[in-house]
Amino acid sequence: MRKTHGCGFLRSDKGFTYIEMMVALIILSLVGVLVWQGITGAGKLLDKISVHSSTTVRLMQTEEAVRGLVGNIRIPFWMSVIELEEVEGEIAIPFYEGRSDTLLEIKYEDSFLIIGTRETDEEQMEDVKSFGPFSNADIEVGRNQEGELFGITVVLYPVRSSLDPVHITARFGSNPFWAKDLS
Amino acid sequence: MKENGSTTVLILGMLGFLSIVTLATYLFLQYSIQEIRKYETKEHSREALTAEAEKLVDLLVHDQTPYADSRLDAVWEYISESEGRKMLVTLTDISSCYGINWVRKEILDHSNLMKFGKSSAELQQYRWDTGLHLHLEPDFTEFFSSDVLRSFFTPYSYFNLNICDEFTIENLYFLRTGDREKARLFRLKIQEHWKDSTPGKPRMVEQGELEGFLGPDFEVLFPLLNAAPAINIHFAPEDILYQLLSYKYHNVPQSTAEFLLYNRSTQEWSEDELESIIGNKYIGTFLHHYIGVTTWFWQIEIETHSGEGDPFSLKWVVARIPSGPKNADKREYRLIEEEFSN
Repeated sequence: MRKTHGCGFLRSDKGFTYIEMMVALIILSLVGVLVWQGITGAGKLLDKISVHSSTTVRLMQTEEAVRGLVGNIRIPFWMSVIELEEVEGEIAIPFYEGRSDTLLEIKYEDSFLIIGTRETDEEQMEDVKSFGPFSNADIEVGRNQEGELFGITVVLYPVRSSLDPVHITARFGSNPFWAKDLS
Repeated sequence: MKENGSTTVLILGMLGFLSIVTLATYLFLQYSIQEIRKYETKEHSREALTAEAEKLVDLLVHDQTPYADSRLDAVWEYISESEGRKMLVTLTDISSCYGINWVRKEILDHSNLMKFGKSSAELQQYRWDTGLHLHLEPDFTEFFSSDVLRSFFTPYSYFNLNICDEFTIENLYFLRTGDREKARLFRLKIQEHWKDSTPGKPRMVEQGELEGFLGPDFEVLFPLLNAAPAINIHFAPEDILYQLLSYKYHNVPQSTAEFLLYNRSTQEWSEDELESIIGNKYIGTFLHHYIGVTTWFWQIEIETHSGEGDPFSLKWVVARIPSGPKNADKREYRLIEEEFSN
């Protein structure tokens, strides 16, 4: 080993020199910055995937539930006119489970899609289920090309504006016989 | 500066943290993928079941013997082959029973189906008060046992003007128009028509006369109210056929009734053939309004039968639309009920 003389500014047998330390710190900082960017980038990506994934699952579960509940509306085949209670963002449809006095009510309130049943002469909903949160929801009755009622349509706007709104079409479980021609 | 590697501990900690985050994300993504796959499988099954149900309806529409529905139709052969398509298919005639909403008092009294202590007049009053019903149970359990309801009655039935309780007709008119007074007048018109009728020589409205008899009300009531026979002899429960054939004003001989019951699953009759088998009693009485050869409401049930995963099932109720003067040759079916489950 070559011996050094004097104060040993550049190199010392006892340890690292200041320059070595500085270079090491600079390299460590650069690597740290790169690693940090990598971690935050990966984190953001994972977060994005999770959000997309959870939103997709939530929307699918909402769609299944809405279809199931609206499917329980059974309008007898002999009916010609169905009286709906319809105000902005809120629809109440009779013949839930075939009962003329039981309504299925669907509304959007406080970022949630709320669905429940109630009797015609009551205001309080029962069996209330809520889905969300969503930034908005459009609820309308579904009509075929002839303008005949067959179900409801719901457009759900996810909380993240970067995601597209989702359209759900839910058909009633049974319809008057003008509703769907099979022949 | 230490040489025992404190930096390594830091990196290990970061790696550990990253591993936990990655593992959690992986598990969540796995769950999401599972849910999405489940949804896709469900959608795929729904499409496959719907296609199968549509095929059945297509076979009903294009039946080679459109004047009658029987066990000899092509649709039954197709159903028997459904096992090979890994599906369990059931087709049921759900209209060839007494219509719970329309059956008349005299038939109820003859058939002796009501619970002890209950009368047909009470049932008529109940129906008048509560309107038409889509459910047999619990709506009618006050009057009939569950077994009787399931074996003899159906809510899926059209209303034949000649054999329908007149108060039911009034309720039907009211439901279609929302006009109670007009509905009452319509009931009075029918009662007036029946006034000169005797059980042995009834006044009836035949299919060709219906539009003339109903006048402007035809547009509102047809095809719900019609003059077509309600029950298909090829599929009706044996007890109902016995009751109708033996009813005192129909009085079909025992041997003829037995011939019909014995041969109905292996032969397909037209209405004209029924007339020639039964004789004058068929056309001369209300019997030809009760018993015919057409099924008006079919229930189609299909279940996936692959043995892999949960089975999915689809239930459809389809209605055949009675032919009117404007569509005499058209064979038309409508989907009135759909239920998908797994």
